[in-house]
Amino acid sequence: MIKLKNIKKVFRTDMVETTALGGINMEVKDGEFVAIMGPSGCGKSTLLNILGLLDNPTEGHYWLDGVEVGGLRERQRTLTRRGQIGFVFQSFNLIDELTVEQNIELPLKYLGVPAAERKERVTEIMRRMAISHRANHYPQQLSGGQQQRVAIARAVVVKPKLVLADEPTGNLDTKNGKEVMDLLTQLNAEGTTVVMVTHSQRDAAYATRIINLLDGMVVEKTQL
Amino acid sequence: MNPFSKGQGAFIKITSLTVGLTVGLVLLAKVQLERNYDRCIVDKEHVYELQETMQRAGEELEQHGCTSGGIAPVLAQEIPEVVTATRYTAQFGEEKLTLEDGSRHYFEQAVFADSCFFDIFVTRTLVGEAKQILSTAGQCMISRRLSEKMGGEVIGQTFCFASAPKKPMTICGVYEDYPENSTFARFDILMSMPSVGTYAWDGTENLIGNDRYHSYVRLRPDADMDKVRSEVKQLLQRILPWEDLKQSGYTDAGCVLVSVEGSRMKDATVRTTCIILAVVALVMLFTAVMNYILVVISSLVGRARQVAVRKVLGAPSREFYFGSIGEAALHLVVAFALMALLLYVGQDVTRDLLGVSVSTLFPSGKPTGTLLAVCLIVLVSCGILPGAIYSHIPLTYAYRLYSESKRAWKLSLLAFQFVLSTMLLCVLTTIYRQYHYMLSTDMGYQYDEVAYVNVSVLHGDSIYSLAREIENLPCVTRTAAAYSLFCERQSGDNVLVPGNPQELFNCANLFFAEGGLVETMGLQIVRGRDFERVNHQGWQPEMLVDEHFARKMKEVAGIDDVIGQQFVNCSLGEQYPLTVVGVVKDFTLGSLVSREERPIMVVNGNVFTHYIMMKLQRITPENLATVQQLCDRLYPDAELNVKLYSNEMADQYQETQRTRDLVMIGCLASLLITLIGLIGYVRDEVQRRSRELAIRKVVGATEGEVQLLFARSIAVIALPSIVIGVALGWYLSTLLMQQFAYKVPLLWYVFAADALAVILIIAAVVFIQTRRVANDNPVEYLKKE
Repeated sequence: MIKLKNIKKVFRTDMVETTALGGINMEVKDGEFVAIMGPSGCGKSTLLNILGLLDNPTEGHYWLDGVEVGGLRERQRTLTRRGQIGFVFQSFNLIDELTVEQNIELPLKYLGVPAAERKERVTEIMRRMAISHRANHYPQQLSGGQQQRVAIARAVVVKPKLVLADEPTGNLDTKNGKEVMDLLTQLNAEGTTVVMVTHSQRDAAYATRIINLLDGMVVEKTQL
Repeated sequence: MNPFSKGQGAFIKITSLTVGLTVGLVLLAKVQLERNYDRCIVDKEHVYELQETMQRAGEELEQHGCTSGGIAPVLAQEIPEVVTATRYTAQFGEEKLTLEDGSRHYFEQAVFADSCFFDIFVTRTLVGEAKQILSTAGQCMISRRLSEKMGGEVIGQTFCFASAPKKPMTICGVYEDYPENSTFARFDILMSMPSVGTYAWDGTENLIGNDRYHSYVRLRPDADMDKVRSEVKQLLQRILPWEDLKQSGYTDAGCVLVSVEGSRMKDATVRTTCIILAVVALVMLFTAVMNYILVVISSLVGRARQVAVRKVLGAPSREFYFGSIGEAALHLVVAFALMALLLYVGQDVTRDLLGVSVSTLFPSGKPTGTLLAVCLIVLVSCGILPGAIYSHIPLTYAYRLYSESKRAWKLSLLAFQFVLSTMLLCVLTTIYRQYHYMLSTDMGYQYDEVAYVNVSVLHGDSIYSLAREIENLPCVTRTAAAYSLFCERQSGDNVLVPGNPQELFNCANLFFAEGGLVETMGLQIVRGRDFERVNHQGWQPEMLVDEHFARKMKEVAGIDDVIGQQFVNCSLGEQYPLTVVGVVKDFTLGSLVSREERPIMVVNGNVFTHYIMMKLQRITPENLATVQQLCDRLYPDAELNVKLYSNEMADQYQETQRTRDLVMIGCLASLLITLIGLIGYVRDEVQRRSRELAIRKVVGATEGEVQLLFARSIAVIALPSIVIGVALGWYLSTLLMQQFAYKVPLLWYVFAADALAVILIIAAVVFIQTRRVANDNPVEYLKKE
């Protein structure tokens, strides 16, 4: 599903040039659950942003489902991302002004799904994530665990092939963290490819493979 | 709180306050000047202008702004309630006088005034005994301004007017200039009333006819107006020559007393212009204040924490009120300083636009109550409301991000600005179209290639020979000497059939014009023939009339065809019957501001002519220079000036042009302030919602969809506001059109285009402002979280 060849990312300012990724080569197959680990500043989130088409690499090639996507322009990246990739963030990134239901519905709207179908799919995913009773609540009225379940629901409501999770349990307690990891595992079991950035060995244990980064380079790949 | 700290929008606030205050206060001052017009008339509530009324059998009563010369003095003598009476009449204007030493001086206006002139129109007499001077033939008083132009030592000097070179007048007094907002502002020379006979036919004692005198009376404070009116009526019944009047076809004649108090504002044009200017001024001030508040609300994101921390530390609410009022006062002071600078730099522009100087608008050391009230309202609005907002910021914002959108507030303020800007744009479009319409409407004659030269200073054969010399130039097609310009206000004259004393109707008399006028001015002969040119200085007893004259003659005298018929006009008298030789297609005299209803007549001749009209091959600077050089060569001392007729025509619409320019400035300034507000709003919303926008992009929104999100939120308030603005603009345009006799039609699609223009401007601002956030990498904004 994902193939990276010599991916580099350099951040430049007037004064400084920082190499976040120094030439990453990796592959992720359909249905895999991959955890990316490494110390702070090693380039994990940068790599995840490139994988999620939120950012372009400075150099190298990125094939998503066999299509070269490394050099796409902003609009093309958005269109490619739609319906194919779902995101789960550490800080949930829900929109405060929208209710739970509206937050989950948002990607379906941008995908152009008709209203009736949207309603059906949102209801279904809320039921599955056990948040139906919170449909009309606003994010600030929910606990952290509930907010992350809403974020996962929003990520998967479009039935993406790939879910990218950036430290999804970082802001949660152990119980809620476990629930989130169970949900991701369940999604993976249903065929969704999951790539997760984490600091937690416990969370990484849910993955089928671990990739360790250090200073922007892959230093170790562990098959679990 | 530092009022100039970064992120508080001090620049935007001061800019919009400066623009709003400058335009708003200048326009309000102009309206104030109009309301205080003719303040020099003391005891105004007891001063009345005399207006003559005449009625012909079967016609409506006509009322004129002037009277015959003898009416005012008779009223002063015979009516006990009249304390004093005065009259004046204009004679010379916008020409030069020549002193004994040969020096020449331009002056604005010279009038004959009687000895009681200063009793009613009060100003200081600087030198001389006014009553004595204005009672003595050959003596005059001049304004301080003219005296200074002449070098100051003027008493006893004798001068002649350029158009009356052999008739000397002696300067015996100097008076203080009248203020710019008065009828007498342009009076430079007051000649004694007994001097009239030297320069014109003396009608100073006339009770009927020669009605060219502006007459005024002051009544006793306890005068009963009904009684005075009755007494005036009885007096006129007694003294007017009723037999003569009846023979001339008049059934009634009289004189009405019109109060001068507020008379300026009774004039429809002045009133409407004042309403429009007051609306623009209030719009400007309102928009500026709203924008100020909008920026304050928008900058809360950056200030909330600071305010909350102060409150946590025990700051009382009044501290925030005092702080925001102090800040507003400081901004206001800076705005006033910039306004003063703008007015200083743009004083010539201000004078051109308003017709008065900045020093008259804002007399130093004398701020008017209105201006002080406006400043106070602005200060309170810009200070109190922000203070209230600050004092209501919850303490919790001391330790978390300020996230209240206050969008309802901001959008409401923006909505007002959209309404007002759209309204002004609609009014501007209407004025622009009306002005263009007036300049481009077919007046029934062609003046695009016409120039003219005022030859009042020349006499006799000189005018005839100069006209022929000009006509011989290769760049000139045709010339004609004429008594008046078509665009000027024309004298009225009554028409009679020889042998019948009954005056049939009043017509606009162009007096004399040479053969060649028809061709020069592009008139069309519809029946009969053109004048044959008189080949020397003189005139022929024949006349051209317009179709209206012919129709009227059929209506009142049953004459089917006026060609070959003889008529008499009152000016030339019965001894000179005039034969109609041709009828020209109807054309419009004067301007399109007021409707000229009278039929037109003109006599064949070059006597008493003031102008040489000329049709050029093409109007070019070179051709005009050629004619000018010829005039200068032939009459080097006469200072003849060749002018474009089209400029003279445009001058007729100067007031409309001024209103157009003022509304345009108001409209542009209002739009500018609104755009500043809109830019500020969008910028702050983008900042406030940057995380939300990034999330939307992450979940699949394209840049266009992100921009549309903003556009939709603005459109929700912009569209209804624009509709309201158009409706108000339509109403004001209708009001504005009332002052014009000839109106451009108000077209719905022009207003729709105005609305569309505002929509496009708003859309452009929104799309430009949101382009960056829509294009940026969303990760950048999520990182900030």
